[in-house]
This record gives sequence, structure tokens and C-alpha cells, in this order.
Amino acid sequence: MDLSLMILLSLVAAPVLYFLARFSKKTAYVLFALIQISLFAYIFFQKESAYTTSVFEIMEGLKFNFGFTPINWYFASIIMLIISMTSVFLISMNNKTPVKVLLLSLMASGAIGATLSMDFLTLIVFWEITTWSSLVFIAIDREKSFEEVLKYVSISAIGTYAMIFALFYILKSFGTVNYLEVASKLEIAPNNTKILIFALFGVMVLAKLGSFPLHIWVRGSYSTSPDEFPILSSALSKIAAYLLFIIVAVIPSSSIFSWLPSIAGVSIVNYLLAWLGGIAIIVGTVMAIRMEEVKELIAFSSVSNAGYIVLALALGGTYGTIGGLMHVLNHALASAAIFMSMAAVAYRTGTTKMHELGGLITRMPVSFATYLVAIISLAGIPPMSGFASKWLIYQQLVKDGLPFLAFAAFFGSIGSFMYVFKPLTGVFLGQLKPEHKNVKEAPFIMLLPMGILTLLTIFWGVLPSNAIAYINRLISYTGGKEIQLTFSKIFALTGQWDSVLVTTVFFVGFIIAFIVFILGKKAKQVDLMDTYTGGEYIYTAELYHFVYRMYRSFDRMFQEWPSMENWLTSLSYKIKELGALLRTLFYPKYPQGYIAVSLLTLLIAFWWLR
Amino acid sequence: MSILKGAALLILAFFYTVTLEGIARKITARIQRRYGPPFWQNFIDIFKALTKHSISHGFIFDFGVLMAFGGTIATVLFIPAGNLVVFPGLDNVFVVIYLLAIGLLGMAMSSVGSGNPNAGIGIGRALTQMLGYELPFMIVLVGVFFQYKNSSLSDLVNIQIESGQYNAWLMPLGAVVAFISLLGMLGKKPFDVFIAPAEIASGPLVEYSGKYLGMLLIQHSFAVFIEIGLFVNLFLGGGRTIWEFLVKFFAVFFLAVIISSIMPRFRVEQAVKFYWKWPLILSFVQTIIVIVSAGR
Repeated sequence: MDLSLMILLSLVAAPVLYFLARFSKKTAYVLFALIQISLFAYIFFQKESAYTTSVFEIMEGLKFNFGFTPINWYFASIIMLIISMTSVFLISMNNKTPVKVLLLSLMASGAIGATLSMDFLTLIVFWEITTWSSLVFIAIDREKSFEEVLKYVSISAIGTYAMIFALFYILKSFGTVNYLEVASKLEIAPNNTKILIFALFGVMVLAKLGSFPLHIWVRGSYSTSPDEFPILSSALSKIAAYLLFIIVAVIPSSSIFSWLPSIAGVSIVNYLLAWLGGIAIIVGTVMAIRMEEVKELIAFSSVSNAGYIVLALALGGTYGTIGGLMHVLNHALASAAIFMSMAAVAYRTGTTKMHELGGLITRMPVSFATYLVAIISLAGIPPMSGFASKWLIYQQLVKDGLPFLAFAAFFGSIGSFMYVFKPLTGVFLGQLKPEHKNVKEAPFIMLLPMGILTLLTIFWGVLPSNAIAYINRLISYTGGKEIQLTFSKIFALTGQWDSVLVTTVFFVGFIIAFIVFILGKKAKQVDLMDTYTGGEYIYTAELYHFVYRMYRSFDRMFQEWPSMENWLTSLSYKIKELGALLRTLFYPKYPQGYIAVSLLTLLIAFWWLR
Repeated sequence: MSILKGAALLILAFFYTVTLEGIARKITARIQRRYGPPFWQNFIDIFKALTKHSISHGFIFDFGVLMAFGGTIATVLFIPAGNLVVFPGLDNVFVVIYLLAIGLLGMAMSSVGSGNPNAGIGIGRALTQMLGYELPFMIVLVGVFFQYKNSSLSDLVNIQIESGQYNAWLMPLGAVVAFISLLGMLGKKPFDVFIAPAEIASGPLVEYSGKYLGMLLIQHSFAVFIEIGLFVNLFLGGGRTIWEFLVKFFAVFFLAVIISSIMPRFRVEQAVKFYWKWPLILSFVQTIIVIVSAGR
């Protein structure tokens, strides 16, 4: 099947699904899932193919160009993997509406078009399809999310206008928008042009990836939107990683900025970008630790992980690039799995506030297992896939000798133990609330995609060489240096990482532990409320669940810190006040006011024209 | 062969660390002008705990203990003890640190899974304090790895032995910072707020009894072996023989114990603020000195 035909069909499917959903929602959702799975399968099996196609001439010489290169293939298959798994997950969600399936379908086709694009124009057109449909989607069934959508609109408008400006600038100066041609023309362009274009694209990347300083939309739009959105967003924001990879590796930013001074072998522009990533890691981590609602918490963890991706890709180098690309995969898998398990919890209990939940492990064990594996990966602990990417990023930081950026990376990594553990305690462990006594496990159709994502996380954790082999193809396509691999080992600057050995040793340790455990006397099973209480009598499980403000001491350290969101909020108040002042001038309540204003105008006009 | 070596290392780690912990009780007692228990008291405690009846709070309570014990045993195997090296070249420091984390995660999960809020408070404090002590330690490690372009423990030991220059002499500030971080890792005073027996009833350990407590006591001994072993190998050049390693190990352990026995206890945010002040600044200074003097 032709690529453009596939994307066209995917776009056409959206209204068809809408009308179908008006008759039968279930059928439309099942059909949507089938379409997404077949799209994923189609893209996934195009691994070896390398062809391009262009359609729909917009104006002289400008067409939509799609194609398969290892880069497009990598990003498109990650995004479509998450989207297809989500589409299966959605079949049994509540609140299905025809509009939602229309928007979801548009988002998916936008994402495919954007990641398979071969030039900046196609990228932005399809990306905006995704953005605008997700904008409507966030505000769709909750009133309070309207304000959050405004934040999203304004931030993504900043990014989009920056990118459109860069696009027309490129078109006017170079006469082409194709990635590779732009790359070769940019090499010989004037220095100002290089900086301008890189900065404009950088703004777009930071805005859409949700990285510092354009991260303020992430918390609100994840927490107030329908539960479907954050799951998808973990994939959709990766389009920004695709653009980032294009501007730092395909248009090799290190070579176009070679005339600028460099710090530790990293050109200063890349270094500054890496620092924005580093700040995003710290800000995201600190804020995530302080949140009390799961979706907000994971939203800030997404900011932190977006920071990792920016830092790694901006640093460049073999390990940085490969680590960053692998982190795209790991974070997409882990955050989708986390949001799915939280959506499953919300589906059964109706809340995602941690202090309103607790003890659900006995009621929802599979959701718990999904969450556990995902957080182990997110925290970068072996033997899950998250370790390999963080390990590679550290290798690059050590190689370049950048202790301050390494500080940011370690802060995010160790801080992540804190914030991933809080929902684990709050939602799944601790005391079961009496009103959740009869909660059941999520339906099978929800557990299926969760299980698949979990297995993939474990698979790429035990055999990261498999994922890195794909990335190596991508790296050699862009002319970078490949990393050395064997079946179980990855070789890097400071040594080797033998994932199979470590996993085996861990299981040997586990078996030893199990033998010791079995040899001991059988334990007496007691209730969760039957604990050491210092001699007091406690009967209320709700009060006996410690999670609200779990890290109060950490909070105290950071509560005096400046908050960008508060600053922007007070700025918006100031602007509103200014508007109110102007309104009193130009829209007075009494006719005298109008006369005064018109006299004043006449006087000024007379004086000025005199 | 590596199976035999692994078994030998585990047995060594168990007997040596448990003995040392017994001696530590004696040392503390003598500093406080008490007589103190015999040095084999900890063996008695562990054996007794393992053979007693116990209670369980459900699946995750059991599973977490297994994960903690298994993860820590796995980590011990990556610590070279003198010439007893189980996986030469594969004992990457990052692997050791993160593999140790899986044991800690298991323990945290299990104790919070007991439903006792004291355990939750203890784990919250432990994780917060971890953010304090790990950061300076990791920054120092960046310097060490940059210097040698290697992060394998056994290779680092060989390099130090061959050149005759221990990292503690080459990077004195780094060694001091790493030792202060080590006190936090070991949960020695003044950084023992997460187990504070009088405040939160031993925190994470509050619900354990019988074989669970016994396993966690062994797990704690292994964790001590890993943490001090890491310091000895990284900064004191490990050892040519097992004996040399064990002597250095004892010296570090002894120093930690006597410091611990005369210290009061930090509140958790005081501990974190402390780590983020002098140790962190010193670690940056040390790492920058290393990076600049290595001449890139």
C-alpha cells in the first residue's frame, strides 16, 4: 500500500468513525482499535524499506513528502505502538462519545503524518492536526479544564508560530524545506541565520515536549483532561523528540555551530539547550515529589524525563544520542503503562487522588504489577529497560566531563525513587479504604495492553541490545558512530553492561531468598489493621493510611522557592487589571464619561494635527 | 568456577559483616562505659529470629522481603573482595548502585505493604535522605570515572594497586565526601533518622518478626558489606589479597562506628541540607580539579 494513501485513509477514517459512533459507540471504538493496530503493523514491517512519496501540491514545488528512513521508522513505530495499545485500552473506558473517537482518530493520523514526514512543512501541518484535536479533547468533558486548555493553547501557539516563522524563513532563503537539503544549505548559511533557525525550532521542541521553560501546560492538561489524554500524550509529545533529533543530529548542530566556542567539546548552543534540559529535570523532579494527585505527579515526571531527552540529545556524542533515543522509547512505554494503570484505578474507584485511595493491591493485582514494572523502569533500576538509557546518558556525561549537568541527571534519577514510590504507597499499598472493599480488577480488555507494555519493558530491560540494534541503524543512517553490542552486552566508555548476567544473578539471589524463606516456619496471616500501634486502639482505616504530604520535610525545603506558575498567574492578574483600567477609560458607565473621552481625543487630535 | 567464588563471597560477606556488627556493639558500649554484649551476639540474634514464629501482612509483605534479600545478594556478588572477584570487568559501579536500589525498593514496598504508618514515615525519610547523600557521592564518582575512563570496580582496584596511588591520596576531598555519604548510606548516626527507634518504632522494621526480621538483618549486613566494600575498592585500592581488603574494610567500619557512637541525630531536612552544602560543594571542587588536571 502506498504511504500517502495510508495516511489519507487514516484521515478519512475519522469522520467515518464519527458517524459510525453515532449508531454504535462500541463498534466505532473497536474499529478504531483495529485501524490503529493495522497501521502499527504496517509501519513496523516496513523496517527495511526506504522509499519516499509526495502528494498534493500546495503551491509551486511544495508538496507533502512522506517516507521511510530509519529515523521515521523508529519514531513512528514507537508512537504507533503506544497509540495502538491505547486504542485497545479505550474500548472498555467509560464516557465514550462520537466526538472523542473523531478526535482520537485525527490525533493518530496527525502523529503518523508528522513522524513519517520528510520535510518541515509536512511535519508542522500534521503536527498541528494532532495539537488542535488534542486541544479540543482536553476540554471535552470537564468544565475546569477550560483554563488549562488556554495554557496549552498559548504555549503551543508560541511553539507553532516560532516554527512557522522558521519554516517560511527557510523556504524564502533556501527554497526548500526538505530536512536533508536544509541541512546542507544551512552549513553554508550566514551565522545569524543558523542561530535564528536553531532557536526557533528549539522553542517548538521545548513547547511541545513540555520541557523547561515551556512546561507549564503539562500539569493542568494531564490532570484535568479525560483519562485517555495523558496516556496518548506520552506518545504524542515524542513528535517533539523527533524534531529535536532532526535539528541536532540530521542537521548536525555541532558542526553548524563549530564557529562558536565550545564547552568540554560541546558547542555552546547545544550546551545551553542541554542546560535547559537539566533545569527541566530538577524542576520536574522537585515538583513531582510535592504533588498529591497521581496524574499531576506523573505529569511533572514527564517534564523531568523530557529534560533527560533534551539533555541527552543536545549533548550529542555516541552515547548521548543513543541514550536519548532509547529514553524516548523507555519513557513512552513506562508513562503509558503508568497512566493506563491509573486510568484503570480511576475507572474502578473514580478518583486519582492518593489520599482517597490505598491498599488496592489485593483488589487490582495486575494494575499493580504494571505500575511496579513501569516505575522500576522509570527510576532506571535494572533489570528494566529504563536502566540502559540512563546508563548511556551517564557515560556521555562522564566522557565529556560535565559534573554540573551530571548533577541534574543524578538528581532526576534519585529523586525519581521518591516520586514513583508515593503513588505506589498511596494507591496500591497501605490500608484499604472501606468503600473500596468490593472493587474489582479492571476488565480484561484493559489489562491486555497493560500486560503487553509491561512485557516489552521487561524484554528490552533484559535485552537492551535488541532495542539498541535498531537505534544503531538509525545512527549509522545519520552518519554517527555506532555503539558496540553483543547479544547480552553493551560496550561503552567506562565498561560493559551485561544485562543478561545481571538479570540471571538477580534471579539466583531471589531463589536463595526464596529457599531461606521456605525453610523458616510458616507465618501467621494477619489483617492490615492488626499492626503495632504503640498500645493504642485504632479502628478507622482511612486515618491509618500515611500518604498525604508524605515528604513533608522535603516540601519544607522547597516551599519558599520561586514558582513559575505562580509568577505567571500574578502576571496575568496584572494584565487583567491593566485591561480593567483601560476599560474604565474607554467604556465609562455614564454619558459624561464619553463626552470627556471624546473631548480629550478631539483636543489631542487638534493639538497633534495643528 | 564463578559459582564457587560467588558462594565463597557470600559466606565471607555474611560472617565477616555480622561479626563486625557484633564488635561494633562492643565498641559503642565501651565508648559509653558499658560492658556490652559478646561479639557473636548478632549471630545469636539472627539465628533466633530465623527460627521463631512470625506474622505476615499479605503477599506484598512476603514478596518485598524476597526482593530485598535477593536484590542485595545479587549486588554482593558484584563487589570484589581482594583477589576474590566473581565477575571481573562486569562489576560496573552504576550496576552496583542501581542494583542495590532494587533491594531497597523491595524493602520499602514490603514495609509499607504492612499498613503501618510508622513504616511509611520511615521510608519517606529514608528516600529523602537518599537524595541527600547520593548526589555528592555520584558527583565524586564522575570525577573518578573521568580520571580512569573506567567504572569497573575490579579494574579500578587493579589500576590503583599497579600505580601504588590510592584514590584517597589522589582525590582527598572526594574521599572525605564519599566517607560522609557512606555514613548516610549505612544509616549511622547522625543520619539514622529513618530508623529512629524512639520516634517511629524503628520505622521500616516496625512490623517484622521471626524469619522476616532474620532475613532483613542478614540483608542489612550484606548492604553494609556492599557500601563499605564500594568505598574500600574505589578509594582505598581494594586489596591484593582478601586479607588486605578485610583489614581496610575493618578500618573504615571502625571509623564509621566511633563517629556514629558520639553523634546526635539530624532531622531529615537538616541531613539533606547538610549534604547539599559542604559535601556537595567539596565534591564539585574535587571533580573539577580532576577534570581540569586531567587536561581533557
